[in-house]
Amino acid sequence: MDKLNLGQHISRQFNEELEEVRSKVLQMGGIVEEQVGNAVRALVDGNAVLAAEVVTNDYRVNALEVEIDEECTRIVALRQPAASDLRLVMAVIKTITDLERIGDEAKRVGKMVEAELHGALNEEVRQELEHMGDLVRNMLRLALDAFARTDIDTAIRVVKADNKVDSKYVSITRQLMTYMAADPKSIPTILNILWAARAMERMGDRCGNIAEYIFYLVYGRDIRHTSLDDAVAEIAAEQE
Amino acid sequence: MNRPTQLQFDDQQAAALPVTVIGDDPVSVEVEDLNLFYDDVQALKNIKLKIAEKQVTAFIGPSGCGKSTLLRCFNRMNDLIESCRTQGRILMNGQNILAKNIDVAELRRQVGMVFQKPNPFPKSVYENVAYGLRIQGVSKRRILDETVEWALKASALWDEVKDRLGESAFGLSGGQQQRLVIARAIAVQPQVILLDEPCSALDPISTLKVEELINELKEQYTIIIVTHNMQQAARVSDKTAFMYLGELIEYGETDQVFTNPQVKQTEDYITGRYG
Repeated sequence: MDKLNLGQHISRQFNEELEEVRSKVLQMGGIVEEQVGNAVRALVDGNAVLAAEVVTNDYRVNALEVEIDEECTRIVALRQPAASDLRLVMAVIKTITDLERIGDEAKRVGKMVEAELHGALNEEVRQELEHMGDLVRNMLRLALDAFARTDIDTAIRVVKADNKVDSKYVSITRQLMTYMAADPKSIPTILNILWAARAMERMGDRCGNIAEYIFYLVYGRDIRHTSLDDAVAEIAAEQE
Repeated sequence: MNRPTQLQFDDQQAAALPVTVIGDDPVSVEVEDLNLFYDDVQALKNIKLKIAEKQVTAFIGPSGCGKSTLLRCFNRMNDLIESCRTQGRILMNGQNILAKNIDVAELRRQVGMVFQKPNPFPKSVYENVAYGLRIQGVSKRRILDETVEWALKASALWDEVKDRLGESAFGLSGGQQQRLVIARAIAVQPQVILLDEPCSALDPISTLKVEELINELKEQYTIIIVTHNMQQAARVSDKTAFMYLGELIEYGETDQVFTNPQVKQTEDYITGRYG
């Protein structure tokens, strides 16, 4: 990557600071990816030990968020970044907030696993959850990849992929509701599963947010709260 | 506002010069195909630019890019340099101010200028501000008093100097002197005020006071400022023009120029990259 030309500042120190922030975001992304992967595996395998590990490891994500935040504040105060540098710093600040929240959701999934959901998890639900987990993990991987390479095409794929996660969530909810109706005594455990699915759905949303910041980073355009197709069409028209 | 349609990170765009539009804002001064030479050296190349009325326009760019030269065209300060000749037109109130028949003294009344270093006259605070009016033949004490007070208030200096109007202007601090010079410029009610690095010799607090003043003055005057301090340009101006090697590279809303410039050279300059 050097689409951002981070290596071209007259101040070499500034180059290094921006590069450092960027690589720390990727490092944080790597940890979050691992947390999400472990949380999903703990969920589908019912592995309470792995779940506990996810819960404990959340602090690593939080610590990096604080560290990167401080670094960004320092850059804003001392360097007064402008144009693409400014957009990079702003995008980083937003991205790490979403990454940290994805970490929280992974922790939430871990807690649900710790809180006993066995028996309620039949093979059908297990497969659905596993599939949903795969979708989310893939979204996160792509989002980080898009950030690392400032790659708009990949960012678009991430935003679009969120629809799949959402519809998966709807279908899992529906399934769980029938179980609850059939066996009211199982409601407390099933609710835990539902919360875990809900957490994964939120992860998907946050991956979508990260992808949206890449639009801002590259084009200086805020596409939150607008239709993706409209934004892409407008950008394409401008590129003509 | 018609934004230039190219996207960033595209090297090709550096070749294409932007269209210098400023949307629907009323125009105070219009530069048409201005070329300027010092002997054989061309210092300004085909400048086309519309300065918006009652707004602050900042010229930024590296040393020697022509921004001060362009600024000095607006009140014909370049006339003082023998080797300098210009082509093209600068229109103000429908008149080409570069035309030979223009009364340059009158032009300079309408287009006031403040320089890098404060240059008060070796006179009292009061006489500095009253100077322009006296040259115009105003001698009524009441009018002079009123104008001096008004101009000093408008330049946010009144409270600091009202008890020492009769003292020498050289006794004021650098920041006060600069505001005094601005008061002197506005006392003759110009249309346009040119500021050539007005804060470069001032401390940060005085700089902020002058910036605050610029913000207040734009309600009544069109202001053009040349500055090397990009944060200052970003803070005080509504429009920003980036110049490089005598050409106008990009001109647009300040917010846009500083967050999402459309031309790579502008991006490189304001982010401190070597292009």
